[in-house]
Amino acid sequence: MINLEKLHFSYSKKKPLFSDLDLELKPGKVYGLLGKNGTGKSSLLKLIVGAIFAKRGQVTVDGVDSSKRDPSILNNLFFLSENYETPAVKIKDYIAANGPLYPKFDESKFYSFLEIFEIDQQANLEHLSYGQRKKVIISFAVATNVKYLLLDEPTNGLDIPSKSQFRKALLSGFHDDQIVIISTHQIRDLNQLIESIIIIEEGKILFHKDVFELEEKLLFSKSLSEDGEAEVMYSEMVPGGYIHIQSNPKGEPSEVELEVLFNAIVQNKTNFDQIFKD
Amino acid sequence: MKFKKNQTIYLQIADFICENILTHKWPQEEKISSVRELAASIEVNPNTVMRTYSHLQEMGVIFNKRGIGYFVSKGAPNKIKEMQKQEFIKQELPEIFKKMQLLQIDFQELEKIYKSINSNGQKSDQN
Amino acid sequence: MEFNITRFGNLIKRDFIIYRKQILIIMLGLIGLLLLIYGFARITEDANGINGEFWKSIGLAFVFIVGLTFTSIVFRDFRSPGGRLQFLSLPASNFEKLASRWLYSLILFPLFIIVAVWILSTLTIATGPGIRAYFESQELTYITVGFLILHATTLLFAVWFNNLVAIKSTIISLLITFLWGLLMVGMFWLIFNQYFEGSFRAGPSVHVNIDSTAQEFFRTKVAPVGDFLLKFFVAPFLWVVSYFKMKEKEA
Repeated sequence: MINLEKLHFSYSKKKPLFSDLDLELKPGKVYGLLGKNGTGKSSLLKLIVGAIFAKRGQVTVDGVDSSKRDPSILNNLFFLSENYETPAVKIKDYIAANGPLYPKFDESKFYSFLEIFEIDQQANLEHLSYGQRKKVIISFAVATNVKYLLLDEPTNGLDIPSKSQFRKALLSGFHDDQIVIISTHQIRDLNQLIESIIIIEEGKILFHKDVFELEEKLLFSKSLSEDGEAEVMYSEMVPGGYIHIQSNPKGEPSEVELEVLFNAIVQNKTNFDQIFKD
Repeated sequence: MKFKKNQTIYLQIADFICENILTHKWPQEEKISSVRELAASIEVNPNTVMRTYSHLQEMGVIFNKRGIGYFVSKGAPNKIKEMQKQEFIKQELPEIFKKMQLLQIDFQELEKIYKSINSNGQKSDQN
Repeated sequence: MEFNITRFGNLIKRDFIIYRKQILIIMLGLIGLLLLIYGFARITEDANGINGEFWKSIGLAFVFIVGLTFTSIVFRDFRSPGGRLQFLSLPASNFEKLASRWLYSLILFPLFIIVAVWILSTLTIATGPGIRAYFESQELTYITVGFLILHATTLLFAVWFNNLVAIKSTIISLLITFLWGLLMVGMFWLIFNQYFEGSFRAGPSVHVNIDSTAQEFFRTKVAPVGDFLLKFFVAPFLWVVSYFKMKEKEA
C-alpha cells in the first residue's frame, strides 16, 4: 500500500507544488496518473520512491517512510523515469549487473519480453536507439516482478507497433498484489489498461475514481448532432459527430473514454461531485 | 437525435468470445484461453477479462473447472443464438420498425426485398 | 544504518560490470604512464642507477593526485538528474551505497597504484643499477593520515556536489585550510602574544618565550591531542558527515 498524507512539497519557496495532498493506493490495481504539464506527476513518483523528500506530511510505502530509502522496499520497487539512463554495456551485462539486486527478477521472462519487442539479445545498449533502449528497460522493469512499478511516460518515444508490444509485455507481467502507476499524457495508448484514474491539478488530487465506478455512474455515448438528450454533462466534438458524458441513472455500463473525461474535468471544469456523492 | 451508447469493453469482449464459439473456432467442451492469455493478446486489463468470463459463466456459455480453467459449455452456440435473437428482437427490431414506418415500407415490400436478397445470396454462393 | 553483505557484494559487482571498461582504461593508462616514467628514468639515469627516492616520490604523487581525482568522479551517477534518480532508487541502503564507492576509491584503487609502483621499483633493481628506498614508519603514518583526510574530504564533496567535484572541492578545501590556519594563528596570537618577542615585520625572527612548564604542557597535553584528532578523528568524522549527506541527498 502507498500512502501520501497531508503532503507538502515545493521546489521554490514562492509556489508550492503540492499542498495538503492525500492519496491512498491499494494493491492489485493499475493507476493512471494524469495531469497537465507541470502539475507534478513526475515529482509525485519521485516522492514515492524517496528520491526527493516531502517538506511536510509523509509518504509511506508498506508503512515505511519512503524518504528512508529502505532497501527492503526498494528491492520491491522499480521506477522507470522519463530520463532513464543506460550504461554502455551489452544487454546481458546490464542484466548481470542489475538483476541480482531484485530478488524476484525473472531472467527468462526478461528475454521473452525482448522477443516481443524484437530486440537482439546480444546487442550493446550503446548502439540501440532511444526507443529500443526504453524497451529494454521496460522489459527489465516488468521482469523484476516488483510489487511497486512506477512508469513515467512509458510510451513516450515508442513507435506505433511497440505501443501494442508494450501493453502486451506489461499485461503478461501483472500480478494480483501489484501496484502499477503509469503517468501519461497519452491516455489513448493505455485506456484499456488503467483501472483507476488520478488527476492532479493545482497541487491537489482533483479526481480519483476507479474505472468500474465511472462505468456505473456515467454514460458515454456518441451522436451525430450536439443536442438531443437531457442529462448531458459534457460534449466534445470528434470525427464523425459528438461524444457525450451523461449521468447514468439506470447504471448501464458503457466504455469510459478517459481522454474525454480528462478534458471534461480539467479543461472545462465539469463538476461530477453531485454524481459521485453517495 | 438518438445517442448511441459506447459499448462497454467487457461486453465487447463477450461478443468477441461468442463469435469465436459460433464459428467453432472455440469448440464445445474445450478449454478456452486463460484470463491472462486473452488479456495480453487483446491488450486489455486482466480484471476486465475476468468480468467478461464471469458474465459469460452466468449466462451459461462457459463454465469453470476449478484449477484447470474455463471451458465452452455444451450447447453454447444455441444459447448464444437464443441470446442474440432476444437482443435482436428487443433492441434492433424496434429501431428497424421505426425506420420502416418513417420510410413507409410495409411488410409485403419487406418480404420482396428479403427474398431478392436471399436469392442473390444463393446465386453468388453457387458461383 | 543497514548493512547486508550479499547486497553490498551485489552493489560492488554491479559497479564493476557497468564500469569495467572505464576501470580498465584508467588502469591501462596508469600503467602506460608509469612505464613511460620508468623509461625516461632509465634514459636519464647516472652511473649509480635510479635513486630509490625516485619511486617513493612517484608512488606518492600517483596515490595522491590520481587517487583523489578518481575519488572525485566516484559518484559520477550524480552528474545528471536521471543518474541521480537511478542511483538513489537502487535497492541498497544509503550506507551500502556510500561504502561501496568508499571501498573502490580508498582501498581498491590506491592498492592498485601501490602494487603497480612496487612492481616497477622491483623491476628497476632487477634490470640495472638502482637502490630501493623504504618509508620510515613515521613517514608512512603521516602519508596515510594525510591521504585519509584528503580522501575523506573529496568523498564528502563527491556526495555533496553533483558536478565539477574536483574543482569545487579543491577551492573549498584550500579556502577552509586557509581560514582555519588564519583562525589558529590568530587565536594563538591573542592568547599567547605576551610570550612572543620580535616582530613579523622583521622577517621570521619570532622567538617564543614560554616558560618550561608551559612548554611541557604543550608537549605532553596539547600536541598529543592534536595528533590523536588528526590520526583518528578527522577522517572518520568526515565519513560520518558523508553518510548524512548521502542520506539527505535528493534527485
